[in-house]
Amino acid sequence: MYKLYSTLLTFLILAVTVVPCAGSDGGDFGPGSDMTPGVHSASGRGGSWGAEAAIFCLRVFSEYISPVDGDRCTMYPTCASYSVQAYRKHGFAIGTIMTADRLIHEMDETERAPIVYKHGAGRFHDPVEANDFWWYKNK
Amino acid sequence: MIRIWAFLLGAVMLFSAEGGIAQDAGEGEATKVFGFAERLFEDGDYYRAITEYKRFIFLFPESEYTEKSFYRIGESYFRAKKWKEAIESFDLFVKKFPRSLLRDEALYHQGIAEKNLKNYSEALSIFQSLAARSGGDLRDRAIVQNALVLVETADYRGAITKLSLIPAESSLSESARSFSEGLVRVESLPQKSPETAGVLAALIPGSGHLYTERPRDALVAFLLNGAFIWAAIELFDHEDYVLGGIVTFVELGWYTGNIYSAVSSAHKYNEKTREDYIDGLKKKSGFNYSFNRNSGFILYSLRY
Repeated sequence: MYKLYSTLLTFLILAVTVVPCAGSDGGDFGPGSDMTPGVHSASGRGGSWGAEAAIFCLRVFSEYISPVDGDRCTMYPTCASYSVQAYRKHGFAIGTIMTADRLIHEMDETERAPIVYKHGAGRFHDPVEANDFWWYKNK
Repeated sequence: MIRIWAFLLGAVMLFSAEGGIAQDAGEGEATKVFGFAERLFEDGDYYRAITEYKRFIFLFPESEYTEKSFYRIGESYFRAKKWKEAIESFDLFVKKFPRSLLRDEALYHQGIAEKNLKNYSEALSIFQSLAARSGGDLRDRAIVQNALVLVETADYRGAITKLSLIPAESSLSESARSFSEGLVRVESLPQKSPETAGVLAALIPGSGHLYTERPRDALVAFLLNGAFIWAAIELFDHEDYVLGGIVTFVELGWYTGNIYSAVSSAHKYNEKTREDYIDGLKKKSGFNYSFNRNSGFILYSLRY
């Protein structure tokens, strides 16, 4: 009985915390748009099977679970899109670490990040570049 | 015979009069189309203004306003903060009108657009070239922009050296002096050590965030890591090694994420402190530029 409870509890915790909140990040192109690179334009070290598997899981989540679950993310790009960009740019290991970082730093970031209007609402702009810029300083 | 001559004379006069009327009408139309584009530009409706300037160039490619229309397209993109398009338009203008009086202004704007896109080497090259071959106000503005690019790359001493080249009689000399004095203090601004933040986060998850003044993130990091570590310990205690292994694997992600996040927070703190200070310094020194709608040039709001 303990095993059943622990298994259920474990998967519940994983489902709630590991899968990032998501919303669709379609491109807002047209007059006056800021043309910030979206999920599809991110490029870099992605392509490893681990990164591709993670991106596939995120796509499944965005496509089938998020519409039912509802759009809860107040950030732009949404956590799932951010995660896909991080995996594409830095590969599996750093992509995972940056995804965890995004989920941890979301609350205090809302007091610091600039607001952009996306998908009909104001969102806090927190792209991958705002969290890996220090890698490239003084290079 | 006289009738034939009279007829020919009349026909010649009629045709020449029609030509003159047509030419006048063409010039009138050109003035109207260009005037409409200018009105849109003055109203700040840059998107439509660009279309009208393009229409003008298409309809009147030989007009005296064609050159200015090309320039205005670049300027419209610039004011709309479409930096990439502004660079392309000014580049086209400079190639098409190499002897234009607006050439150096176009290059100056192009340099600022490059700076805003963080293409610092291109921006530096433009401003250095302008400062070397221009004179007066444009030279001084190019020097200031050159210094501002150096500030962006954290080369504060280089910026101070550049600003010292502005002559005392320049309208920008007082601002340059004030800005230089402020730059000396940049390196003594309060900073958070990324190494300390990382070590703290590794010892107690969340403490690195507390150090970088992010209390809510600290709480999230502490609770998440605490919950997963506790769950893993409980699972291993109950000899549930498979689930224990899965939870430990996920916890490793949270744990390294917590360290990365703390280090990143320290860098962000330092960057924000520096940016806020330099923005304040620019305002205080009058280096926050604005547009002059009458001249179309960028001006600095100077203190008096």
